Amino acid sequence: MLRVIQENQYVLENFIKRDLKVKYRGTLLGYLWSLLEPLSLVGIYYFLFDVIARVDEPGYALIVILGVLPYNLFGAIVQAGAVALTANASLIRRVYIPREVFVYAHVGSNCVVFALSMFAVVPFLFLYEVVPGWRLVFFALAAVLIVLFATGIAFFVACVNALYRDVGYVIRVTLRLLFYGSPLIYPISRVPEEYLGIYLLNPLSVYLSLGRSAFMNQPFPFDELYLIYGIVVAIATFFGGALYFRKYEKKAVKFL
Amino acid sequence: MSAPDVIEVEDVHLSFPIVRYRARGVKEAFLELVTGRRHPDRKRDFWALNGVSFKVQRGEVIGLVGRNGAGKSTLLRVVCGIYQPDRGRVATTGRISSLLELGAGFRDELTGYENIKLSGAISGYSPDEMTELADKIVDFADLEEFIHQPLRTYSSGMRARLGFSVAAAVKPEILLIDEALAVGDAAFRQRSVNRIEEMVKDDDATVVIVSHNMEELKRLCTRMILLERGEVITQGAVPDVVKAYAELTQQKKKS
Repeated sequence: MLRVIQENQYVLENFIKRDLKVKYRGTLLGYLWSLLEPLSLVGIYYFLFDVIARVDEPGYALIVILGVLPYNLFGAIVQAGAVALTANASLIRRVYIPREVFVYAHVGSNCVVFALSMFAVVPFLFLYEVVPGWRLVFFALAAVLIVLFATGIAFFVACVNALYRDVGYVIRVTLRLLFYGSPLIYPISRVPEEYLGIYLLNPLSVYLSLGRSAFMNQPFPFDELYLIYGIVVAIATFFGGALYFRKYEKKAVKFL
Repeated sequence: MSAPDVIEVEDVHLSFPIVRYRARGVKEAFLELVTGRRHPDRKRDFWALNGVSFKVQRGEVIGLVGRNGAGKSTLLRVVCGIYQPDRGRVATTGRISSLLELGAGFRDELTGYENIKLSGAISGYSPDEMTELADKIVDFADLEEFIHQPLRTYSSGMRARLGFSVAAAVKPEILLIDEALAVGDAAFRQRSVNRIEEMVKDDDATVVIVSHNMEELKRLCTRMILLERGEVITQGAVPDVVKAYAELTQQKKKS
């Protein structure tokens, strides 16, 4: 599966560059939007919960930004994956390129955007005087797991979307549900103990709270067993999606 | 003494689903999705290719003719791997460059130059290698003035010129051309035909060309294949196939 990436290195580079170019084309602020968009979300939730509702949660803005950015990475990969085949139909029908490349290209460009948008975290580190330490490796792990998990789903929805364009709507609804159903705008410690078992079955809950605790120098906010669960789910989803894609993209292409 | 086969097409069948949205119920669609089994009522595939077989040896120039919708373009797509046959087998040896529809895999929003780079990357050339090739391509396409303009501003003739120039520059061992030359002006077509002859002679390239221009085909081809309703009707010497094709079109006109 990784051979596809290696063999099509130049196409992939070309696609990723183009993706990034298209993303900011015609804008005045360009890359700044990758910071402003999540920051505005943080602003909204800070105002809502810290100023208005006064939920007494130390470092609340940092908590939110560390939830929103990785979640955006997940959402962006899945959404881009859904249109990976359909949006490239004209190219796919004219030249043969292994179709995985289209999915990987979106994954790549969204990883770059994610890395750049992480700078939005910096002001909050100063504000709350948080100095991340060696535990940052767990943040990197969380990011990798999110990418694997999202890529697997992207492979799956890319195929299905060629047959049924309903997929776009399903994704939008699901992403909204997960936005509130995962620890984005609240820390996992707010989830009642008796629901935690079910709550952590959502792998995003594991990844997001893992990444956040790593950044804030805190121990795992859950049993280590869930970390293993998260890793297994991410890897299984990735390979499951990739295998599904390999099997069904030939059929999906006929619908383009 | 015969050269090795570089394209082998063996009993290839290819179907397209006829998509009818709404005609199927949601429940049915869902069941199909989950079970992967098809509802017995829904047997509405269109068979674009029905058992096509032929072989092409290195250095041959094959003319593929047939009426609209006979399956010529689909067949080229199967040869270059865009579609996988439902039944049958396709085997090719060597680097394939294809020119299907106007502009092989070009993108409207990119400039001509960026499209050259993209096509190069698709054929496996590094950006540096492509920078070297780009001058030659621009020169052959005769597009110096417009090369940094977005492709959407190009006329169809200009696209075809750029497309052919790229396809020919990447040194393909197999070149597939689908009516792409038809929109170029006479001078460019002349040059393209010369270039194809050169590629065959000098680099031992193999060409499969779809065209409705019999004069061009007569000049270029070593052999021809006539396709009708997804089946090979005749293949062989150029004059024979040209005659068969003429008869086929005549016959249809009368009836």
